[in-house]
Amino acid sequence: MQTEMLQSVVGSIFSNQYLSSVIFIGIYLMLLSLGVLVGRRAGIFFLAVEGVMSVSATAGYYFDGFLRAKLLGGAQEGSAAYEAVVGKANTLGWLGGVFAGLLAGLLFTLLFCALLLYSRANELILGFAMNTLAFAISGFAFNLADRADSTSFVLPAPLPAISVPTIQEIPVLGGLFGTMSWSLPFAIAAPFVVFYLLNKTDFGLRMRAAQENHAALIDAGISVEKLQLKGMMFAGVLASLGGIVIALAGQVKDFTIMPRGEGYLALVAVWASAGRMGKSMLAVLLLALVSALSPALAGVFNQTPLLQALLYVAALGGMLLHSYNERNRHRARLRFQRLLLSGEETVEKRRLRWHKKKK
Amino acid sequence: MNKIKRKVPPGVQSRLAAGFLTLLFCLLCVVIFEPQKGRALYSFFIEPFSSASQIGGLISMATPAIFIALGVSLMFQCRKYSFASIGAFMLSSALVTMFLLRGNEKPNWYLIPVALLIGILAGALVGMLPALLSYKSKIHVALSSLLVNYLVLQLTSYLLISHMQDFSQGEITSFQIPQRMWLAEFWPALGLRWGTLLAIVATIVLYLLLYRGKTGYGIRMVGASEATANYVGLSAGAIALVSQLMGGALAGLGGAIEMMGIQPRYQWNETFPFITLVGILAAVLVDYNPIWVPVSTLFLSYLWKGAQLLYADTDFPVYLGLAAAAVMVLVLFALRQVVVADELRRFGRWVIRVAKAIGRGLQRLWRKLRASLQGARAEARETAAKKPSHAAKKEEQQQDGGVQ
Repeated sequence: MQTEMLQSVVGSIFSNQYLSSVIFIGIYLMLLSLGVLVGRRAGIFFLAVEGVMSVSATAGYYFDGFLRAKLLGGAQEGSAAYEAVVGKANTLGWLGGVFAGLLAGLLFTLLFCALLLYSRANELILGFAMNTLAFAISGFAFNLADRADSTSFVLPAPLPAISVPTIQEIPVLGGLFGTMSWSLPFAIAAPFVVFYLLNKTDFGLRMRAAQENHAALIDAGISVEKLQLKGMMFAGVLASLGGIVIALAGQVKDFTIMPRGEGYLALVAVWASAGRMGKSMLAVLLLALVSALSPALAGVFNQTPLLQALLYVAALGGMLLHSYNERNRHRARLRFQRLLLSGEETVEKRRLRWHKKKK
Repeated sequence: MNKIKRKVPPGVQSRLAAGFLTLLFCLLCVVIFEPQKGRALYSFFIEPFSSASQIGGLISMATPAIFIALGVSLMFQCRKYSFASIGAFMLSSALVTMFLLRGNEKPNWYLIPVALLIGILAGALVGMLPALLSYKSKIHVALSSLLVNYLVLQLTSYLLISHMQDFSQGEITSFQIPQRMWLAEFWPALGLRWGTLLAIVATIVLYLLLYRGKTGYGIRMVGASEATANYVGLSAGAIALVSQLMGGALAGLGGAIEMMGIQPRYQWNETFPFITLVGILAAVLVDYNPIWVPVSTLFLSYLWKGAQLLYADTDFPVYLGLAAAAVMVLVLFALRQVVVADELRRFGRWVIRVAKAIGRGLQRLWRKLRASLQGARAEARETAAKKPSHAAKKEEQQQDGGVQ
């Protein structure tokens, strides 16, 4: 019995369904983490990322559905009238959804920044209030769509898929990447773009000053608020894209407004890696691996809530691990300073030792 | 306006303005999205006060939110922005429901105090977890508390589905707690139970603790400056820990009271109870001052109750109540930097200036119109004077005929 169960667990974990879930969750968590990372560089704890994601996902999903319903004009599925317009309705639907999601996310980020930077509200309480508002807006839209008839709202069109025949022939990769959503190549490129922007451009370097030293920016005659606003707009775009991926890149009929705290997980990924991009992406991958367990093992274990709880335990564990490492590093630094003061250690000796170790 | 400014402090002005704008927001939402406008407006704005039982229901609904808001006030006064009250409320209400559902043969004198104690302990445990993580490992308290909330949400969903679910109901919900285990009523006409009285007592005690006691002074001092608190010999870490523990315990007590007569079925599967979010926002509205917590909680509960009645009557989204609470906090943040009376005065002056300008423009226009009318009349008169009259024309014609 136990062997059978173990076999089915291993089978579920090494299935294409699990791996594609990991990729899907990884994509949106990565986009959200990049948004949080840019926000951190701008010197802002982007707690409202959950709200931005939620609002953009809702706006994208429902605008896509409403637009598609308008274009289909209540035509029955399979009828000639339906076949005539369905292609155009799908294309315009997902394009409209992406546009509406981006716009809603940006407006929400703008509101957050306006209240934070110009009204000087507490960023944690403001973030919480914004997230509550976003949750209410999502619920409101969900209920309104529930009341609407088929001429006002239909199931939205998902983001289109790209088929790559060469990859389709490869055994495991074919199932995963043979037919992939547009969001995947975009998500692969996104970290490089963000890395270039943050580390190789004037704007990125100024943003670093916004995080570390406001006085330097003020001395240079640069408005800190304006710079933070620009940075947050960029963060808002990334978070909105994450929301759009959640709503339109997966199974559109599975979309739910119930909160799962994806934004907070993105915050954990960035905070537990001290804002390092590479480590953040690794944290995202680990979180995606744990998060995808719940749908994959739903058939094996009946207790889905307990499987989902694993994700939050993992996130808390990651933060604890980071804190432990930080503490050790801090202790080592103090020890070195003590030895330096007592004369037992010199900077030169340490450098030599480090080089030896490296060789 | 100066009188208003002198009599009503700027903080109160901005809160009143935020309340007014929130009501306006709700009105607009209903008018825009609801076809049966009259009925919907009655349900939302008037029905919560339409009878004694409705008023009693509103106060009962606010009771657990008052406990949450008090707990949040305590934590936020210490500048520890922990949102663990949500998790504390959920875990305590789930455990209390489980305990009471299994306590069929036991007497009430045993069940009720033990249930309240379980609620307090469960709440304290959840409140303590992020506090400990922050104290021992320097983990961001807001972030860890939010994660703990999600963890508790999944655990309580598991408890609901596997240990408490009543399959005879259409939706996922627990069995109803037997009526004999509910808290007794102290005002039967309004249907108010002892939990409400306990909330009032807790408000007064917490106010005295925070503003008249040594412990409260320590908590507020840590909130003002941890370094100074440490410098004068207070243990900032221990005080922060105690404040979060007490905040969690209060939220847990709220959860237990909710299940003992107010909401006798545990029904929060995969979603947070909205009343917990309302409680946190209510504490923010009054700057964490416990004595004003019942007022703000009652106002937000009124909006929430109105949204529920509206949903029952017209199927309008119930989320309006939650959105209104969040909007009120955001409006308050937006108005924080301004003195509302000054802004109103400035706005009034602007309106008068604009009205005067419009008046002058209209006057000018009228003068021009009058002048052009007078000119037209004078011209008409001149042409009429130059034109030969009908009789003169006839005479001329006769003269012409005579000549021929």
